[in-house]
Amino acid sequence: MKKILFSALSAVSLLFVQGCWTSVMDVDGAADGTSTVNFKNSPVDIKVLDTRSRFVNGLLQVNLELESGYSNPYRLEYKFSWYDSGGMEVDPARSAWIPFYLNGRETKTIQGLAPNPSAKAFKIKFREADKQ
Amino acid sequence: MIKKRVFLLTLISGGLVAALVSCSSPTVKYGDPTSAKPISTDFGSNDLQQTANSMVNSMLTFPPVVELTRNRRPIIEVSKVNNKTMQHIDTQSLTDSIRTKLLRSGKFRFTDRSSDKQTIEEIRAQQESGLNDQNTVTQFGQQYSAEFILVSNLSEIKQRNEDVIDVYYKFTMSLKNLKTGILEWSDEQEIRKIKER
Repeated sequence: MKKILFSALSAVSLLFVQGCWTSVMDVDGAADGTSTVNFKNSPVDIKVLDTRSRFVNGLLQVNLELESGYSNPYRLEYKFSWYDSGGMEVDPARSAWIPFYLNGRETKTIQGLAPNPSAKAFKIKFREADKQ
Repeated sequence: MIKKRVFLLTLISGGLVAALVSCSSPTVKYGDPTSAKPISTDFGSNDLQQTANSMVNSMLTFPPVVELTRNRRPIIEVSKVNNKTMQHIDTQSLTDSIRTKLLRSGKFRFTDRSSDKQTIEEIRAQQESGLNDQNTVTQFGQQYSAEFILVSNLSEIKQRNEDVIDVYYKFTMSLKNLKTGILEWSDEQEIRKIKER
């Protein structure tokens, strides 16, 4: 009986602590299209299928193709950050979190455009929407 | 042994209480101005940011606009948003965000009709107060004119039953050439917000 109580209390404690955590994923990329995916805490369940970038009239444009790992609808948010050639963030704190909805196993593309021509690299942050 | 179990149980219970308190205690704090969490189905701050972002990205990557801004910075005036929703929305704030983003892209210049009154007062004061060196006084009739005007509409369609409120917003923006009357660019941003009981 005590064991059951002990396990139940531990599980509930874990659930509450887990409930406060946010699943986060970053994608770092450069103008040449190379990118790396970094997970923090528990991973966001999406797969990055393709990353492309190009300059449109001097502004870095990024295209990301994503696939949901869930079979149910998945609510996420993403946010772009931009960096100049010296690694300094361009217009920090200006970009907003954008809500992003994926149906089960759906593939979708998101796009971002640098705020000005000094941006040469980017970072995209993802997080689960329902835990914000 | 019993003491150890009691200690462990107390520790876990304490952790649970701490977790509950940290998750749910009411506090006043600074929030993230870029947060996407919706509070209601009304047009909110993140809707404004999304819309401004989407319009600016669309306009800056539209091929004829890219061509237009390749070698020069055209002058634009932003007109007031035609608010067709039932809500009071600070549409000036929306157009301000769009103008700021376009200006910071370095591709356009803007005129600002909303500050004309202050401009006239300042020029008149320069000319008539006797305080200014007349060689440096700004003369009337020298300002540049806008070549384009940004016009926009915001509309909503609301549906509701006992359990669900469904609000669909549509923001439409166009770039009109003042000389020719031709619309050089136009796009729409759609947002749907659903509130369920």
